Amino acid sequence: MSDWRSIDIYALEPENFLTKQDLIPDLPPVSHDVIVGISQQCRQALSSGQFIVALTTALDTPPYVADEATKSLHAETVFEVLCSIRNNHSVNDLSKFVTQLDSTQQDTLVKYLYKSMGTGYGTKQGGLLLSWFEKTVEITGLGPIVRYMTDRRTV
Amino acid sequence: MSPTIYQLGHLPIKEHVFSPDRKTLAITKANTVELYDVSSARPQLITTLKGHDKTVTSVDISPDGSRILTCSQDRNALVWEYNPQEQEYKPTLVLLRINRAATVCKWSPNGEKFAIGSSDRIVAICYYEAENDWWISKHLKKPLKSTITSLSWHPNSVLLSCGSTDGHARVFSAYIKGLDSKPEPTAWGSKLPFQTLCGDFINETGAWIHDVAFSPSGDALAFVNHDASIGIVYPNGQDQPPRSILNVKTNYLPFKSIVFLTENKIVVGGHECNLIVFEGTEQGWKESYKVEKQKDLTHDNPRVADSLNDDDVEISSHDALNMFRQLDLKGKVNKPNPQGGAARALSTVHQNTISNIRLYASNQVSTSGIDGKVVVFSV
Repeated sequence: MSDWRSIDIYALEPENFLTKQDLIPDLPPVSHDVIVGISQQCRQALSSGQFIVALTTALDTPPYVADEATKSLHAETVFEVLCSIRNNHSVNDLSKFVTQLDSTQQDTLVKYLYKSMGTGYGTKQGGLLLSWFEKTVEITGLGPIVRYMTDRRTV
Repeated sequence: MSPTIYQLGHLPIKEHVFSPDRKTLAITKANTVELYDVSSARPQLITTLKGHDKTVTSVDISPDGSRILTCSQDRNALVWEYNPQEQEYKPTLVLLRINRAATVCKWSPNGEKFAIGSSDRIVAICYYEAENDWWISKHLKKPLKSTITSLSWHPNSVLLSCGSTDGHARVFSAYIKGLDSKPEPTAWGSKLPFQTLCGDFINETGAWIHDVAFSPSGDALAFVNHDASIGIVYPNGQDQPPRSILNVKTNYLPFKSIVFLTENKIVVGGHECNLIVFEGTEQGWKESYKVEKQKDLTHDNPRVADSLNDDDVEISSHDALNMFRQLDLKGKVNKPNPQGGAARALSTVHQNTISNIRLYASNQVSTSGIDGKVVVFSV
């Protein structure tokens, strides 16, 4: 048999293999409306100068189980917060924001930094994202990067 | 006490094991297993066990030291015994009945059976059948759906934990009727027919599990994940949710192996090339210390400064001569380093990932790495 590489081996054992469904994290789904609401909350906090509140609000509510549109919307919200903080502070002040986050929030921040780097708007603001990235990893070490790569709860 | 270092070639060592009397060392090397006599200062190669066609993934020595167990990607496992007449090790094939690579093998603490994990989503529990004079196996199948990466036996030789690539650590009963005596009830349960699932835990991120380990009493289970975290579970009896599930996140590179020193102390190691000790109880675990002093790879690495102006550094004519001579002899070149060659090495003993840690003595562990070293550390 010459085309043995193209045999669908899973068809021989249909029962016990992992499906994409099995790998979806066991978390409640998040609706689009909730994320729109959070986006408004963050904008309000930013306009009243409460930068850290806006940042933690955005990082505490990543939609892990949601459709692509919802995930992109939240990524834009986080990006907006990061831009706003950077535009109102010096680069060295970013470290102060990172230290105020707990380790879960730091992990989520790194996930969104990577996600933003892959988008059109993120490419235009590459310097901004890299300075956030540098300041974050300086404080946290390599852990959040490792978790960005391994975590099945994608943003 | 400074670590004892055995440099055994430069091929990766996936797993190593010392015999119970600490006089013999077995390591996996490509398709073979090498046995070394380490009773004197220099390790002496005793013999090479050749019997597998593909990479040997795991090796273990039975608790009485008489049998060596190997398993390989060629889907087979072999039990090697020394034959005094012919003065060599003879293999016996194990009837595994798996269709994909065997990934890990472990003898039970009582030495009467062993477990083989495979990427066929099966754990085979193997035992000796005297009638036919071979090792036969029973399969643990449900609810496994992914490759088994690691196994660990409970001290009672009935319960078995396994970690897999779907991020689950599971505890099964591997009770073989007629071979095992009825086990005492444990924190994991009291009724234990074969294939009972006594616990199923998933880590937060769903990352691969690289290693699992029972504590010395068997009343706690710990596992290391590819997301650089450690999970520790304290069970609470049959069909009850566990008393406590802890997840210790770290900011290191992922860990490949974990060993309990005592109920309250574990050692982990992996891509960081260093061993790290954690201490704690049911209430919480935290990092205690690193076994070796280590320079931070992201901060003060001398190579960063070097590589920036690599092309501008002038080298003396003597260095240049050596460079070309090396190129001629070996077909490759190590650029002469103005600060000396040592600046290019890691500050730890292991120069690459630690693949496997085992308990050596009460306060010593042995490690093997893909840099071809086996090292005994005091911790």
